[in-house]
This record gives sequence, structure tokens and C-alpha cells, in this order.
Amino acid sequence: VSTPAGRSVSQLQRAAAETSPAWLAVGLGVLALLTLSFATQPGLFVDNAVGGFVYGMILVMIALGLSLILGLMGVVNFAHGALFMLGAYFAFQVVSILGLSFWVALVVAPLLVGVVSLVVELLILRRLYGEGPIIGLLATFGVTLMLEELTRAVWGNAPLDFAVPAVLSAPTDLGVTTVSTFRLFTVAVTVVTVVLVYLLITRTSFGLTVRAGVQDREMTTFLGANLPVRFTAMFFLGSVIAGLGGVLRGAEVGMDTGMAQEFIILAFIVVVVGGVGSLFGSVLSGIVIGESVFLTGVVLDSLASVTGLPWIAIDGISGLVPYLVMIVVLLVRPRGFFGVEGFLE
Amino acid sequence: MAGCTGATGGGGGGGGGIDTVKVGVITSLSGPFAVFGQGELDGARLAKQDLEEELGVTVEIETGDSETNPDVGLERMKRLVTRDEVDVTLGGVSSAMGLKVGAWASDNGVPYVTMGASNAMSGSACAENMYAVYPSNTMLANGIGNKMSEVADSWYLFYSDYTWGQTAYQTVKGILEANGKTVVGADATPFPNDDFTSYLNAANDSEAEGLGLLVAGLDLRLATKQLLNNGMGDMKTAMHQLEDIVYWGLSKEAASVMDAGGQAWTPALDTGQEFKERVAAEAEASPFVRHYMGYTAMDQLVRAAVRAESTAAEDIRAEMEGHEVDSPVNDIKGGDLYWRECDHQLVQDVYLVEGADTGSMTDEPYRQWFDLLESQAGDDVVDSCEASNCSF
Repeated sequence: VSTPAGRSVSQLQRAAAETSPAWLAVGLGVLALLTLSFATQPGLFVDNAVGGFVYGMILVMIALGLSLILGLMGVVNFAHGALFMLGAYFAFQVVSILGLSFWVALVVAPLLVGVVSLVVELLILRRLYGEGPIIGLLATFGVTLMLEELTRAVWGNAPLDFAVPAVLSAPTDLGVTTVSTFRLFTVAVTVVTVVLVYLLITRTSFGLTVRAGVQDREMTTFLGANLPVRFTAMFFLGSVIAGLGGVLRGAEVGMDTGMAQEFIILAFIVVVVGGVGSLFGSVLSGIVIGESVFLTGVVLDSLASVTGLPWIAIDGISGLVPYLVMIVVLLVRPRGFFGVEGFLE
Repeated sequence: MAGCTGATGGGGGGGGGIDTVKVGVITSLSGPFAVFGQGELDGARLAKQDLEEELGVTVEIETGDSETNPDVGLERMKRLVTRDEVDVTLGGVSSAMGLKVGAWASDNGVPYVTMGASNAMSGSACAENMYAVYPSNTMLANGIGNKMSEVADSWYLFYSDYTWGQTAYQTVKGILEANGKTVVGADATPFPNDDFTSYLNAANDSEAEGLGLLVAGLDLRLATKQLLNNGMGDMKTAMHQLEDIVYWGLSKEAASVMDAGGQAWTPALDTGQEFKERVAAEAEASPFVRHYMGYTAMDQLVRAAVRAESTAAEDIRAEMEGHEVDSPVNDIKGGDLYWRECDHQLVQDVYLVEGADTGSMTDEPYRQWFDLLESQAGDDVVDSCEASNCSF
């Protein structure tokens, strides 16, 4: 029996075999540029290579729940950003208002977000399964606006912050570079979450019936699986992960009501580049985008320095990088790295 | 001269020829910048109370939520003018919105006080019925540049990648280099930005002594927090247009690392005590620059209308141009203020602050986390009329 990871590896091998000489040349060119950059600015290159990986894993954390809901349920959940934001505000409530520890917030806040998502799923989304993706998108966009205003009414407009344990506050010296300890903690949480989700989807009967339901809803129901309950559970799980991402982001840099929309587009880019329906694709996509954002500026600076052409070092390029990556990837692979045929077709 | 008649501070007590002034406040009342817009509205409401009590005129406020979107702001402006029939208008968090609604208002004979700080407000995009209450970007950058030269010899600069940030960068860089200091590197950062780590890595790698954070709005908060998270808290930091509220969502430690901040108004001033306490009591907020801006804009527009005994744009313009402010604003702000005729910029003092020691920061009755370092006279930091490039 093939597993999603096994299929992804074989897809990767097949994609490599199908790669045209032109794209191979592009790949070699990128490799040469990275080597040049490392040779000219080794310190900054290493700093940003490590930073890009960490940032990429944070993107994975934010996009993971979205990937689950979109990939398995076919719901374009624009409210993912609002659930992400709620995670941060619930954590603020737990830590700063109730005076409990950050570790309590790390568990309780995502679960509260999950409860909110249950209400959304039962009252709104359940009526929309089987409709076109645009219907779900519009409905969840409306939910986003409602949750944003609710958050503003409860916690106010001002930016907020809450304390994290001292052990996570100090920077960590990795030898080659220094990284925020909290970011390393986020990476660890992300890895654990990805592994647990993967095991749930691939190694449990629950996951098997959900995947079967996605492929053939009628047959799966006929065989006795209660799909509505399973889909609700999946939405709950995806939302809990969104809330967990919000807790981590809020703890790292604070929160405001703009959080809901700050990352939602980026999260969609990660999912689309990775391929809708592929967890492994989302992980790879997050890392690729993270590294691209962090290394593009260094590479262009190095190239400008070596060639004596300062215009090559384009100011402010990093903000465009995720979109450029998406364009390039979709040109080569219209379904993303490991996209599943059939979705949105 | 309007300035001479204005010295009476709206001496047409009783409202003269007008009984009511209808004011449209168009600003961000939802979204992440709502906290700034709410400050403007709260300040305007305080001014309304004072004006009604002092001048006997009725001030009606109509609000429009721009949602920090210039197109939405313009639609709200049109609605306020055509449906609600407001006489004068004010507000707006971003320069982009100010420019868009200001151009329309001015073209349609509606006085408008913008609260954007881009040079264009009183420069290349100035308009005959638009007035800039916020010190221009150049005024604030001029104010901070010399202080940065005292704080460190080498600087790395971040600037928001649009006109406001680019102007600040060019001004600060020019002053630093004129003072013999070195700008070892700079990065244009997206606005808004979701992560400053790669830029912080570059700044750290440059071994600059100081980091100039010429980044707008909540980006300053993110950059500061990530600076601390990355263990770069020892680096000197400066920002030319600091608004206290950006830091209130962070820890006091984050505010304490700011070595030099430029401000148009600060609760650290020893003037305007009653105003600060009223903001705390009535708006249930800590006072910051947007309260001052809202108050001043409302105060000046209504007083101009009362002096002119008219709400017609040309009459208000005649009263505003060259007018030396003589109202409670003087006590709130301190120093002399006047509306420059050539570009409609409110020339006023700017201030330099630094983060206070965390132990001396106060939260009650309102937050005060910064210490005043010095005041700089408006005439010393404002560009000349020729340099402002304004032509009505």
C-alpha cells in the first residue's frame, strides 16, 4: 500500500526525470548563484539560510491547517486567518488576563479556537459542502469579518502582547548564527504537529475513512462511515492547528486585529505551491518560500558586488519573492509540487 | 491679514455669523489602524466640547470609516459631503488616503486637514483647501538626523518601501553623511512587513553601531520585537516618527531600547496636563500624537470658520493662511505654531525622546514610557517654501 509520502517521493523522481534541459539549466544557475553568494558573504548567507528555514517552518505551521481543510474537505477556508488571530487573542486572555502560564495557553487557546470552528462548521459550512469553491470562500470571508469585529469589540483596537517563559525569550547561539529561541521552539512544535497529522491521516482508520470520503463520498457513506462527523472533526483539527499557529505568532511578536489578513494570502501561496491536498508539499513549499525570501536579497547583493552593477540589488525585492516563486512553480507544475489532479477542475 | 485677526483665538464669540459647523471625520475606524483613527476621533471630540463651551457654536461630527483604504476613504468623503452636507473635513491615518481624499475635497471646495506626514501633503501634491497638521516627513527626519549623529558613528537603515520611507531615508542619510557619519547599509522593507529577521541579519552582519528604523506604523513594533528576540538589544536604535501607541502592545523592555525617537507630540511634555488627563478619563485611552492631531485639526478648522463667519472654503483659507495658532492647542503642544501660507503646513516644534528606564515608566492615569530629550523649533527643521515644491 502506498503512503502519501511514498507517492510524493515517486512524484518527485518522476518530475525530475521529466524536467526539461532548460529548467535544469535554471536549477544549475540558481545553484551557482547560491555558491557565489556563500563565497562573497559567508556570514550573512549562513544567517539567512538558517533564518529562511526557520521562517519557512513558521509558514508551514500557519498553512498546515489550511492545507488540511482545503486538501481533504475542498473548503477554501478564508477564515483560517481569523482563527489564527483568535488563537493569539485567546492566549492573551489566558496569560495576561487570567494570569495562567504560557504553557496552559499553548493547549487551551487552540482548543477554544477549535470550539469556535465547530460552531462555524455546524452552522455555516455544513450547508455548503458540494457547492463550488467560491461559495465556501465567500462564506468564510464573511466569517472572517465577523470574527475580526468580535475580536475588536472584546479586546479593543490596540496592539497586545503577553509574556513568554524566560527560557524562550533569550536568543540561542547555534555556532554559525544566532536565532530567536522562540523561533526554534516554533520549529519544534511544527515538526511534531506535521508528524502527528501525517500519522493521523495515513495510519488510522479515521484518516483512511476521511480520505476515502474525499475520493468517493457516496460509497464511503454506503459502507457505514459517518462522513459529516468526520469532516467536522477534520475542520476542528485544522482550526486547532491554526489557533496553535496564532498562539506561537502572538507570543513571538504580539498581536493586532490585522493578523487575520496578514498571513492568509501567504498561507494560500504555500498551499498552492506545495500542491493542494499534499501535506508533504506544504512542508516543502514553506521551506522553499522561506529560503527564497531570505536568500534572494543576499544573492542579488553578491551578484551586484561581483559584476559592479548596483542596479541588480533591487531594493525591497523580498516582498515580491513568494509571488515570484508561485509564478515560477505554477509555470513548471500547474498543480504545484505535489498537487492532486481533480481539485478545482 | 488672517493671522492678525486669528490672534483673537476665534474672538467672534457666540459664533458671529454662523451657529453650527458640521465636521466630517474620515479616518480608519476598523482594521489594524483603527487604533490610530480612534485617537484622532477622540481628540476631535474633546476639541468639540471646548469649542462649544468657549465660542458658543454648535459643532456636529459625522464620521466615515476609511478602512485604511484610499478608495473607500474617497467614497466616504463624497458621502459625507454630498449626503451629510458637512462643512469641513479632517482625519486619515495614511498619507495615501490623505492625498486621495484631500485632492477631491480641495477640488470641490471642502476644507480638509490631513494627518498624513508625507512631504507630498504640503509639497508636490499640496492643494489649496488642504492643510497638513502633522509635521512633514522632512521636519521629523531633520529633527532626528542630528541626534542620530550624536548617538552613533555608523548606521544601518531600514525604511518602508514607499514615498514616506524613501523620503525619510534620503533625508536622514544626507544628514548623517553631512555630519561625517557612515551609513553602512540600508534595506527597503515591504509595508506592511511580516518578518524583519532577514533584514536584522544584514544589519547585524554590517557591524553598524546603530539601526535606524524608518518604518511605518505597526512595522516598528514588529521590528523592535524581533530585534530583541534576536539578541540585538545592545544596538542603538532610532526612529524619526515615533507614535507611543506602537509600543504599548509590547513589553516595557521593548520601548526602553529606543535611543532616539522623533515625535510631533508626546505625553512626556510638561504642557497639556489637563488634555492628557481628559483623554485618559473621557476616551479611556492613553494620550498619544493622534489625539493631539485630532484636537488641533478640529480646533483650527472651527475657529477659522468662526473668525470668517463662514464655512466657505475660500473664506476659511483666508483665515488659515499665515494664521498663528492662539487657542488651547498652544498649551497642549507648547511652543509657537502657525499655518505657513506657501504650502499650508502647520509649522510647529518637533521633539526628540528616548525610551525611559522600565522602572520609571508609568501606566496610570495614562501610559508614559518615553522621556523627553529636547525640543526643536519648527522653523529650524521645516524645509524652505522653495524646497517644499508646493504650487497652488
